[in-house]
Amino acid sequence: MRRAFSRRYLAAWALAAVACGVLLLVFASPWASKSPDGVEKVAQDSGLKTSDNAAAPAGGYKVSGVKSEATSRRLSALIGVAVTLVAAIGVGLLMTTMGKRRKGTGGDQGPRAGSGIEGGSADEA
Amino acid sequence: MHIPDGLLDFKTWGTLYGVSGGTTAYALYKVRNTLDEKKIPLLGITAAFIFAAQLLNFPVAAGVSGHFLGAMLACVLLGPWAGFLVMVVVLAIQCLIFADGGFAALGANIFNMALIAGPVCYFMFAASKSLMNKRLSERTSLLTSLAFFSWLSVVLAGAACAVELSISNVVKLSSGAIFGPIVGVNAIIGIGEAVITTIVVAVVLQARPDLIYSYSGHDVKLPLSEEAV
Repeated sequence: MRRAFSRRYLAAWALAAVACGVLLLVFASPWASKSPDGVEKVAQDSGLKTSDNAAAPAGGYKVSGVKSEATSRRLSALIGVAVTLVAAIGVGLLMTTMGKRRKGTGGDQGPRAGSGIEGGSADEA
Repeated sequence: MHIPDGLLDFKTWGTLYGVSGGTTAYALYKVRNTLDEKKIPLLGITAAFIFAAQLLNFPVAAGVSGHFLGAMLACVLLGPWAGFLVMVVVLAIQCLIFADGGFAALGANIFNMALIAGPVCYFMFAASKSLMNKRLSERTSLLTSLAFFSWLSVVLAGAACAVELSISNVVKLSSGAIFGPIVGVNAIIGIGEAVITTIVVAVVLQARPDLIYSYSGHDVKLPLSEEAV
């Protein structure tokens, strides 16, 4: 019992740590180093002109119409994190529903659900 | 490490679009049959964490910066192919919405940062882990192998990037001037990568070992029956 409790406690703590970490990164994003990375350094040394996707709505992590650069950067970080979260969950949902449809309705996941820690989560009929 | 447009020639970025597209199709096929529904929230959180962490460039050497990559983290947590897909999602969003990395170079960026740093390094990591596991505990084997191969993942991704730039021959620099900044910088970033990845996985291993794909838990003292009954 104590072990089960401490595990759940740790899980909640870890999740909170991840959430705090993400928020901290979003908050800190304006102070990220502006120096070029390895590839950009090579591009600069070569003197070639490079371009990025010109059609991107928030190119260079700047939201148009926001004056403060720090705010713009934090805002785009926040938007990016949200969009990434939704997109990855979307891909996951799409994959599992496609897998299920292929297997038909009879596919139960009994043997795979090995963790048992969540306790019988609702498997909708 | 995101390659912008204008540095690769058509044969290079075209080929890599093909390779990355094919690998993405294969990963979708693999994941479609094996992804556990309970892993979906973790899929989202991992992708969001990697996106946020990649925003934070830190200075590496004089006038050069670098950032966390996260491919090995995603693969160890979710498995090589779901981890690959997480990286594809992150890279596609960076390119399409934030213009981080060129559109023509997206295939090359996926190849370097999702495939080479992801499944390619993951399978080497898995081999190393199972070799070490013959003498050491699974936990120790996993974390030690992870520290080394997450470092290597960043170095190899950089090396692949440098090779592509050299092959393209658009950048008229000696190979030393191409490999030096990219691979050299990445060898240093890799240390940060190894520290962050190992700490995150060690914490998850402590809290929810069942969430780690590449951890079977054979050497856990607690018998499963105690929880199942």
